[in-house]
Amino acid sequence: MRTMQIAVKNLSVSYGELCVLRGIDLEVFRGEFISLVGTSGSGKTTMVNALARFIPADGEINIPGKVGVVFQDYSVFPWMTVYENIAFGLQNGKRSKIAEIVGQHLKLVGLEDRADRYPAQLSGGQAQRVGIARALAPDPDVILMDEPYGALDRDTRERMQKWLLDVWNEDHKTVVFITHDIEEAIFLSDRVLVLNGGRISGEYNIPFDRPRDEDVKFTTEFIALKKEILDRMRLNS
Amino acid sequence: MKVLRLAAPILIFLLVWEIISRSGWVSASLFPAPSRVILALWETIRSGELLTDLRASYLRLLLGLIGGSLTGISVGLLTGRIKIVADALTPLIQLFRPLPPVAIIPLVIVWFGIGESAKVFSIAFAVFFPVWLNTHLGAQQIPQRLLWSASTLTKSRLRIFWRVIFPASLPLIVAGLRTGIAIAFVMVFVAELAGASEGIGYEISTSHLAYRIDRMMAALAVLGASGALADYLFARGITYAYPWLRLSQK
Repeated sequence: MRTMQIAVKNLSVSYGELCVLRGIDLEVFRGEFISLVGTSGSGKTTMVNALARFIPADGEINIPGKVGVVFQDYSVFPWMTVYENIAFGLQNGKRSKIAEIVGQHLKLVGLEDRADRYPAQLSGGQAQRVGIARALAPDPDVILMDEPYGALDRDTRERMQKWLLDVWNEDHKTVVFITHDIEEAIFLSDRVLVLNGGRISGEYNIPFDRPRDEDVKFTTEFIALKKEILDRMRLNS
Repeated sequence: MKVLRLAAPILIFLLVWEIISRSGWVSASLFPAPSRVILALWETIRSGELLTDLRASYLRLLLGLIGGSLTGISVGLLTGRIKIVADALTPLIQLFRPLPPVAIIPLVIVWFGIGESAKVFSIAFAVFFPVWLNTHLGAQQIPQRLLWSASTLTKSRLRIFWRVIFPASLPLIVAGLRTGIAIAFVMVFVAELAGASEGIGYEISTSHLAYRIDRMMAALAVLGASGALADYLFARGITYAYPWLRLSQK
């Protein structure tokens, strides 16, 4: 029996006259990795902001437990070292316990030797890994990721996708991943939802077995699915 | 090489000044040569007057700077982040801000007399406005996503204020403090013109009455050098205390 982790009913968000999300219903199971894809202005970021309760929204949002968020920009605090960034969400507990958790997450993101560095001393990919480690460290039940790789070059982006899958395989957190890159969405997710004009216009279960490796992107089935989702996005835009 | 590059323009300036002063083209008593100014400086050092004056001025400056800066930073963070505080205080502060700080000195003397508190208050008053304005703008311009990130990691508003809002505002706070330091040097001089018995401003004022232009220039040079040194030390101190500031600016 799968447990529901996110239940959203009739979610709507408006900025004045402009209706950005229109009556969205969404259910995500515990441990599921879903992606929301859509063109610019489709409401993807608003969806994350509403789920994290950063902005007021109409309708019902039910997410029991802690939520962690990773943004494309400003995700890490430039005045804190890598260690301090990861430890920021761990204020409750003994110092030794905090050090242990931070140590585990530094290892997880492969930055043990960068613990004392500031974000300005890291590459874009490393800085984003700090952002992800910081979101994971307090052990959230759900992680919302708003185009976390949007600012990275293609090569780094692909390495980070593979890395994220490895991290996710460790403890299978519930993830809502926002991207405009269909290939990225299919490669990472159990399910891909197409968001268009503030509505979910398509839903695709991803049939590829896990753990996945990058060769899957070159299979006929993957390419066909990518085309199908792309056609769905274009159809509605 | 770097020292030479920095010192060369100063040395050339002093040399040209020395030549002009000794040439007889200008009155040597009105434009005493740097060598005479250095002698006058040595005279004040030997007599102990310079040390007494510097001690008095630096103490006023330090107290005024601390008072004005702490108030400016605290009020700026509150007006920058809390709307109700901004609504209550900003119109008042904006009303006083255009006042030239030196213009309040006569009023301050009426209130506090001619003692130390009047001088310290005048400096603190002048320092407050640039520090407040910069802190206010710094706290206002924090990217929303940074605050959202923080709010998912801690529920403690105090922790967010101290560990996120304050450091995020720091680049502009530092800019405000540097302006505050420069203004404090102006104000310590002006404040010491009225009712002081020691201090660099007092030294300049009494040398003027005694027509000792060389001593005036020596005191001015000390005041200028102190200002430059204070700014340098502040910049170095900030870089040492907050290394990320320098890294982020690269």
